[in-house]
Amino acid sequence: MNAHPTSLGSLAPARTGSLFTQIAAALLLGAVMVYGVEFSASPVAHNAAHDVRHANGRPCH
Amino acid sequence: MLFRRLFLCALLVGVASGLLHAALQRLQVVPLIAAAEVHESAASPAAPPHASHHDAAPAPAAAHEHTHERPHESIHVHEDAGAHEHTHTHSHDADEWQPADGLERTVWTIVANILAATGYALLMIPMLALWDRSRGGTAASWKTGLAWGACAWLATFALPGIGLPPELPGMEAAELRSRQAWWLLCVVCSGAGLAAWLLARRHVWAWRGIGAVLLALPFAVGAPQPDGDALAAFSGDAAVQMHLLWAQFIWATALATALYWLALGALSAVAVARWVRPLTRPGTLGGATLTPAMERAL
Repeated sequence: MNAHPTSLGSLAPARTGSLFTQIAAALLLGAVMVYGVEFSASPVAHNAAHDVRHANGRPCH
Repeated sequence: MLFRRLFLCALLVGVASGLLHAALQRLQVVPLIAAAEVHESAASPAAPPHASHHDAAPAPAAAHEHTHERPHESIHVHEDAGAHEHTHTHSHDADEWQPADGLERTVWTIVANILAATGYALLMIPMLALWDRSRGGTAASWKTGLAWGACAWLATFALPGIGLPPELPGMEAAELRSRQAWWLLCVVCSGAGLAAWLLARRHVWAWRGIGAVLLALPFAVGAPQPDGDALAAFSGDAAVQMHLLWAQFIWATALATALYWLALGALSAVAVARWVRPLTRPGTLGGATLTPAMERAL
């Protein structure tokens, strides 16, 4: 995106958090979101996402 | 910051592919769910798992409780605790909040599709970024993204579907938690197995052996199955109709999820190439140092 990445302001925080920590945090957030929509036992979550669980072939009832 | 960029990319990919999936479902999948729910409503009062809750109730009242007209007016009359005793065996009972049929249900389906797609993009994009980085920052493209999407479809739909086929409302199945556990086992083993098979660059045949073992493992364990026929709750014409609907449902969900995963994979890879690669290219991050062994392992 930028031929001189060191000039990107967004690079500065990367020195405090390593590449792998941030990648792991993104993976964790993704897993939590998928769990909430497709697997949470909460009746409200189940009813709101009911058709999506069936359409994705997830165990639903 | 890398995390922020991963999140924004996942949101973009999640909204686009989630909307696509919702549209595909609207065409083929949701009508089949609605048709099955009509049969489920008709069969429920006589069906063994649900009948016991209505022993004392007159039949018409019991039938009403299981219709999917989403009778909100009846929710508010069941304020006493006794009426809530039977909620957990059948999640369509009116006692819990559920979206009203029509626009409200459609909106929640769209929202859930976007949230699920964003969640999966948050798994797909970081893994693509690591893979792209391990190949010198040249690997992610819409073409390789299609391949990743196809593998994700295999790992999250097709292979688990061999053991636990997509279910229509009203079908009998083994206990929910055990099915969810087997599904998770199958997805993790399938994903790791495909990665070991396809991504290894050294000791390729050893990795393929490991991949084959991982792919076979969930089926050696065996998916939890219902005690009898999955459509045992239905009889006569309803059973015939449900068998037809089920066959259509498996094909409809397979097609819709395949297109959705191809889109999610391709868009994720394009996002990685455009917006994530500048932050993950080797040498661009002061804080991240990899030993040669770690680089090879990626």
